[in-house]
Amino acid sequence: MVFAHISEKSLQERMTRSNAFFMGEVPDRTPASPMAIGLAGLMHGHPLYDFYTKPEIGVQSIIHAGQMFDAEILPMWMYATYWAEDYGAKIKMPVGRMSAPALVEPACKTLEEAENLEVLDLKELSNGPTMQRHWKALETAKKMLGPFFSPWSFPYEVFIQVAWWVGPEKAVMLVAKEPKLMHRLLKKAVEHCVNVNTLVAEKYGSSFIICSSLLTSNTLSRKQNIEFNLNYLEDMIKKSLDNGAGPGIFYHLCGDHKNDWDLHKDMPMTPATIMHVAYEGKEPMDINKVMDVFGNKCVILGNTDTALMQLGTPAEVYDNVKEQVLAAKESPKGFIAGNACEVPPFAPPANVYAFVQAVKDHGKLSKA
Amino acid sequence: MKWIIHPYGSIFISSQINYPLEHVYTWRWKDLNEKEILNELKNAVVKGDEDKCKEMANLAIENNIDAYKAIMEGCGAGMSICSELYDKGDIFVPEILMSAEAMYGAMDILKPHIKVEDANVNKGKVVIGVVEGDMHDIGKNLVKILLDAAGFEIYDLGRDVAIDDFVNTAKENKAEIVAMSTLMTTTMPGMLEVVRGLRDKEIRENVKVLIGGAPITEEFVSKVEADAYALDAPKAVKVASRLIEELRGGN
Repeated sequence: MVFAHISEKSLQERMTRSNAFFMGEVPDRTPASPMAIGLAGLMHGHPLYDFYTKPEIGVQSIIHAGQMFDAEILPMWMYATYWAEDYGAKIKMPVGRMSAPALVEPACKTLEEAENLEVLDLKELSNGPTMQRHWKALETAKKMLGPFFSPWSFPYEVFIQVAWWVGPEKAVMLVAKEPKLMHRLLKKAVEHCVNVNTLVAEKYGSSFIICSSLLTSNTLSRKQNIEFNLNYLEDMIKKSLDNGAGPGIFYHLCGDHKNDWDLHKDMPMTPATIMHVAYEGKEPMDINKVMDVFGNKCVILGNTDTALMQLGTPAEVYDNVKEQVLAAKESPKGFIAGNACEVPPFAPPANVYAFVQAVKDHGKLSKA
Repeated sequence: MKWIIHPYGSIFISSQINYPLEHVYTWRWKDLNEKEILNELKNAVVKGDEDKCKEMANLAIENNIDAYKAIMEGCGAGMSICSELYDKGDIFVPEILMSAEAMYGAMDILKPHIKVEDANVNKGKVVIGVVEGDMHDIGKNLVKILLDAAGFEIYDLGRDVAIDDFVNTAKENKAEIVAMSTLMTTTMPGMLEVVRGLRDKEIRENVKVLIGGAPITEEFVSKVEADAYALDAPKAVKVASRLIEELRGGN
C-alpha cells in the first residue's frame, strides 16, 4: 500500500503539542495520545502479521493514524517479545486471533545453558533480528517526521529478558528457588538492556527509553519486586543515561500494580520523563493518585481502560476521557491523555475518534 | 563428631556410638507413623522442598499408606495451605510455583500406586485452557495446579486453544467444567464462542463454564453467557467446587 502524504502543518502542530511538556512549555491543549499501535495497521488494511514483520508499514500506519485522528499518537513501533529471538527463543508473529507477537519457546533448555549464555555485544545486537527491524522502524520515522523525529529504544524489562532466556514460569520460580542464580541472570539482562539503549543513542545522538514493568502486584511480593525488579530497572536506566541514552524515559507500568506502583517514585527521572501506571487491581489506575505521587516529578499519562475502548460505545469512551482530562490536565509537569495500555487492535476506530474528541473539547489549558 | 536431634527430643552423638549419620536419618524417617508421614509431606509441599516431598512419598509407599490418601492429605493439604497463604498475600507466585514443583515430585511417585476404585473418585472433570489468540498461561497454570491438588481431574489444553478443541474435549470426556482464561482484551470474545460451541454440540446443560484472567470481571460473565468468574487461582478452586455441587445437585 502506498500511503497518502502527511500534512506538514498538521504534523508540526501535533508534534509541537506532543513535545511541549518536555521543553518545559505548556501546549494549547492536552495532547491526545490513544495508544493505537496494531489498530493503526488494521485501519490501513494491513493484517497484524504484516504490521509486525514489516516495520516500514507499521511506522507509516501509526503516523498516518495520528493524522487521521488529528491526535498526538507517539510514533513508536515495537512489540512485546523484543530481544527474545536474538538469543534463540522462538516467537510467533500474530496470525488468526492473536493480537500481538508472543513467545513460543524460551532460548535456553536448561538453567546451565542460561548461566553460560553470553550477552550479545553491540555489533551482534545491531545485526540481530530485533534490531534489524528496529533500525527499519527508526529510519522510516526519521524520513517521515524530519525535524520532529525522536529516536526511541525499547529495552523492555530486565526481568522479562531473563524470562525470554529461561521461560516466564521458571524465571518467576527462580526468585524463590535459586535467588543467587536469578541475580546473576538479572545482571546479564541489565547489560543487554543497556546495550540496546546505547546502540540507538550512538547512532542518533539520543534515545527515548521505553521501559516496562510487567511484574504485576500478585506475581511478586513488594520486597521481591524491589530486590528482583526495581533495583535492576534503576541500574539499567542509570547506566543507559551514562552511555548517552535518554533524555526521554517512558515508564510503562503494565497490568495490575496495586501494591508496587508507588515504589517507582524513586526511579531516575529526567525533564523528559513520562510515568504511566496502568491498573490498580481490576480497575484502571486512578489518575488523581498518579498525579499526587508523580505530578511534581514528571509528565503523567493515562488512563482510559482498554476494555472500554474495545467493548464500550463512543459515548462511554467520550465521558471517560472527559473525566480523566478534567481531573489531570493541570498536573504540574504535564498530562497526556492516553489508555491504560495499547488500544486493542480490533477496537472500533469510532472509539478512538471519540477519545480524541473528548480531549479536544475539554483539554484546553488555561496556562497557554 | 555429629550431634543429631531426634524428632522426639533425644540427642545422639553419631561418632561416639559408631553409627553413620545417614543410618540415623533413615531410622528417623522410618520411625514415623502414618499421620506423621502425611504431615511431613504436607509441610514439605508448603516449603517447596522437592527432595523431601519425594522422600516422604517413597516412605508412604514403603509403609503401605494408601496412595490416594497421601495425595489428598499430604500433597493436596499442602497446596491448600499454599493457596490460603497466597490468598492472604503471605506468599506470592514464586513460592506457589516452587511448592507445585515439589508436589508434582511426590505425585509422580504416588500416582502409579493409586487403587483402581480410588482412581475413579474425582471432584469433577475440568477442561482448562487459555483462549485462542492468547499465549499467556501462568495464571491458567496456577489454577490447574490448585485444582489438581484439590482432586479435580484436569484436561489441560494449554494456551492459544482453538474454540473447537475446548468443545470437543469437553464432549469426549464428559467434562463438568470448562475453565477458560485470557490476559488480553482482544481475545475475551473467544469465550462466548466456546460457550456457543458447547450449546451447538448440545452439551451446554451438562457443563459449567468458569472464566478468569486479568481483564475479566464478574460483569463479563453474563456477556459471554458463562456461569461463574474467579478472581484468582485459590478462588477458582472454591468456585469450581460450588459449580460441581450445583451440577451434580441438579441446581
